[in-house]
Amino acid sequence: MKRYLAILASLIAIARLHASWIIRQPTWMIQDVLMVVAFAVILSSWGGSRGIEYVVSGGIVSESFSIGINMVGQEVGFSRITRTLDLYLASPISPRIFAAGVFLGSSLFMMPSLLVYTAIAWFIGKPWLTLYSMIISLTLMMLSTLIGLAIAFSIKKPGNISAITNPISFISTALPPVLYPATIIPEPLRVIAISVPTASAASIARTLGGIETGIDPTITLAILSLWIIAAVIAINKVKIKIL
Amino acid sequence: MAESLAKLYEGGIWGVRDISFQASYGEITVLLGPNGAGKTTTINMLATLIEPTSGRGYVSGYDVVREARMVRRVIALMPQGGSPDPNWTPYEAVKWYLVARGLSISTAERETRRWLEELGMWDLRSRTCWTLSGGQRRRVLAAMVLATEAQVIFLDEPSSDLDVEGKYRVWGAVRRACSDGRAVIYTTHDMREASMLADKVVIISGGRTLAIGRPRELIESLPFRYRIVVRNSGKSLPGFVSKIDMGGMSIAYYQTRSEALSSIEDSGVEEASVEHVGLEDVYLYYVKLRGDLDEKVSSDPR
Repeated sequence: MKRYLAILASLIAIARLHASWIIRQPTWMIQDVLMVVAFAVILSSWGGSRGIEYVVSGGIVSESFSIGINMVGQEVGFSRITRTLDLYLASPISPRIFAAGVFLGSSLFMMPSLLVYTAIAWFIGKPWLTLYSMIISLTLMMLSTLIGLAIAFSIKKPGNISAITNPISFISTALPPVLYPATIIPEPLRVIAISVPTASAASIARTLGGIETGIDPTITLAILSLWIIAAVIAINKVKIKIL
Repeated sequence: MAESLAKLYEGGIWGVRDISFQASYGEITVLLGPNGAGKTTTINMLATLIEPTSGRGYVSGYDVVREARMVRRVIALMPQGGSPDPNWTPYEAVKWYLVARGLSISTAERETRRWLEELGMWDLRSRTCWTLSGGQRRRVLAAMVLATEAQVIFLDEPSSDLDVEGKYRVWGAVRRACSDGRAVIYTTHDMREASMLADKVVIISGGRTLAIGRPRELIESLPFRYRIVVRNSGKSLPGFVSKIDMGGMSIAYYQTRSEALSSIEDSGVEEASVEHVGLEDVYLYYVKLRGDLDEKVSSDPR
């Protein structure tokens, strides 16, 4: 019990340190909240109530993926630049606890927009949609965090990390059917589109929330599982052992 | 303890070739050497950040490769060129780093205050590191490391970027950490710093250990006792044991003070004074002179 409390204290301490930039600059979160509201307005004007349903599930999935790959990846990459990563690695703090702490600290960024998503879900009469989306997004966040860490630890010039993580994040959230239905994509391309982890996660969240997707949930579940296995293998290949 | 540590990087570049030394608790061991000598590679191997290609390293009796996790429980490292995150304040950087390492919040707060005061950063504790100078940030990083419970502390060029006051603050804090019974391994290429701090000096050059000893012992082991530093002006100093040219300056070494004084008289050189040799001369002897001198001594008919 004492050991677990020590791990928890360590996690919170690292999360507190790596959430400093959010605490110091809360305007980042205002920007994020405004973006959620803007998405809701745009998608509801084009897609009505169905559009808003897609904002809630797709928005939470997109943001979760972005937190893992972008924020955790960039935070660890920045720790390599400042060499504070060496302070953690040459210490009793295990790389796993360090990564989990950074993940926890970065997740704070999402809290205000999550409240907005919850309010929207209540408004459209699907109060559990936020919860289902969040549950599936936790798995997605772990996946994107693993990808972000693999990039952060293996990139030769950590100063260039955003040039890699930002496009990956954008390609994974804006192009595939995360904020729009996969059914509008013609059949041969639909499978490819759904094989992107964010699209699979969004589809699973919608199925759980009782929204018709036209996609077999066992396929999306299998795709997401494969992605996680691949990410675990990738992280074990990088020089610094995380798992 | 390092036993013939060697590190070959990708691309066939040797980081270090043969480093051996032993540090003790309650002492400051200074790794002294020119840039690129292998000091940081040595520290990084002992701090478990990189694996040696050959040789062995032990910290508190634990093997740095096979028992890396145990080593990490007893060490703290201040990396070369490191800086705290610009969004952290000195207070939260030290406090939360200590909590992350397993200290209770009350102990962390007490130690944070102690070491920030020790390093002259207490009054700046609530400012973000963004607003601090490079030297002040280095002091925050030093506080993060010295405030830990670690029994073995690695400080890789901690005083770079520091002004005079900052250097004295760091030296004082390091001395204080050492008096707590901890082993400090400190790298520098600054002779004066090494003279001020070292209980033991390990001179490294070209990835090899050249000499180890207490500063006084190393100075006394030199084959000369006095030196004359002069500006090169065409007039040469006669009768020296050895001489080194450094740009527009020369250093000539003598065994006795009278030999040095008569050399000045004979040469007619103005503005020259005779000085006792120091750690700087030990460094120059091992890094630059020894090869030449050994050759000269071995070919000397006497």
